[in-house]
Amino acid sequence: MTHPDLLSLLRQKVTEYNREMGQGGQSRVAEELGYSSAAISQALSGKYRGNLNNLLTRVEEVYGNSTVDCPGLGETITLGKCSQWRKKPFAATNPLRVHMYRACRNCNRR
Amino acid sequence: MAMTKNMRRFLAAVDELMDRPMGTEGMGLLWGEPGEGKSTSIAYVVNAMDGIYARAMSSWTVTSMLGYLCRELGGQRMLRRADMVDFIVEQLAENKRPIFIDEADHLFDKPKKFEMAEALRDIYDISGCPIILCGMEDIARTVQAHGRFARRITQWVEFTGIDLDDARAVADELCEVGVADCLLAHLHSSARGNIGRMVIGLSKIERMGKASGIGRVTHEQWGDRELFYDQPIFTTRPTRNGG
Repeated sequence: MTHPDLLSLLRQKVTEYNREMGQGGQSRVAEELGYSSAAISQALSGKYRGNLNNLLTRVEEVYGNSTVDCPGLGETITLGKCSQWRKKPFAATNPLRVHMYRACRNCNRR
Repeated sequence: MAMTKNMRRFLAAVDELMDRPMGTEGMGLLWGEPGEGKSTSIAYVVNAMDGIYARAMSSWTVTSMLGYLCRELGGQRMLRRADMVDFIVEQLAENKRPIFIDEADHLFDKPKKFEMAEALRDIYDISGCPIILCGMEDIARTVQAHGRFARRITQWVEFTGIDLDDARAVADELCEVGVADCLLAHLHSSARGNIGRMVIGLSKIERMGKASGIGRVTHEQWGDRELFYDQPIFTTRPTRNGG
C-alpha cells in the first residue's frame, strides 16, 4: 500500500471508532498502534516530525490486509502476523517458536 | 499442509471446544502412535487459531511450566507460582485462546505426583480456556485413571494411520516428483499407513526421481530400494575370523 492509501486508512479508522463511541477514536487508534495520540494527530495533519514511514508501516501491520509469503511457515500470512512473529523474543517453549526465531532472523523482511 | 482426515477431525474438535455451550467442560486430548503427525498438526492448528503452544519437557516442574506459559503469553517468568497463575489467567481473560501442550506425557510423570496436570486444571477452571493435551498412546489410559481430570475432557481425538486417499493428498502436497499409484500403494503398505514414515519415504522418492530425471516414479522404476532409513539389523554380518 502507498503512503496516501495508508494515511486515508488511518483517518478512516479514527472516524470509524469515533462513530462507534462518540469520541476517543484517535486515542484508541494510538493505543492499538503503540504510538501517542499526539503522534496520530500530527500524522493526520501532515505535521509529524518523526519517521512517518515507520508509523505508516505499523498502520499497515495492524489495520491493513496485505499478505506476505512466509518462508518459515511455508504459507501466506498477513503482515500483522508476520510482525508478531518477528517481534517475539527467543524462548524455547516449543519447536515451532525456535524454528521461527531462526527463520525470521534469516528473512529479509525485518 | 495436507488436509488428512485426522487433521480435519482435530480441527473440528478444537473448534467445538472454542465455542462450546455454557456449562460444558472444554478440555481435549489428542493421542496416537509416534509419527502419526500429532505435533505437525498442532503446529498448524496453533497458527490457524492463534493458540498458546508449549512443549512439555522431562525437566519441567510446575514453576517452569508456568514460566514457559507466561513467556508464550508475552510476559516473564516470575518467582511465585500463584503470581504466574494470576498473570496467565489475566491474559487469557482479555483474549480467549486455546492452550496446546505437546508431549503431555511428562505432565503425568509419577514422581512429580501429577502436580503439573493439577496446575493446568486450576488454570482451566478459572479461565475457562480450552486446554488440549497431546501425548503418546498410553496417555489416554493414564488420564482415564485420573478421574478428576478425565471428567473435564470432552474431546477425545485419536490419530490413526491414514488411508490411500490421504496418502495421495500428502504425496501431492510434499513430493515435487510425481508418484504413481502403484508406488504409492507400496509405500502406504510398507509404512503401514504411518504418515511420518511416508514423509521419509517420499523424500527418498523425490531425491531419486530428481537425480535420475524421472517426472513420475513408478513401482517398477523404484524396484526394491529401501524406502526408509532404519538401521539394518546386524545379524548377517560375518565375524572377523570367518565364523
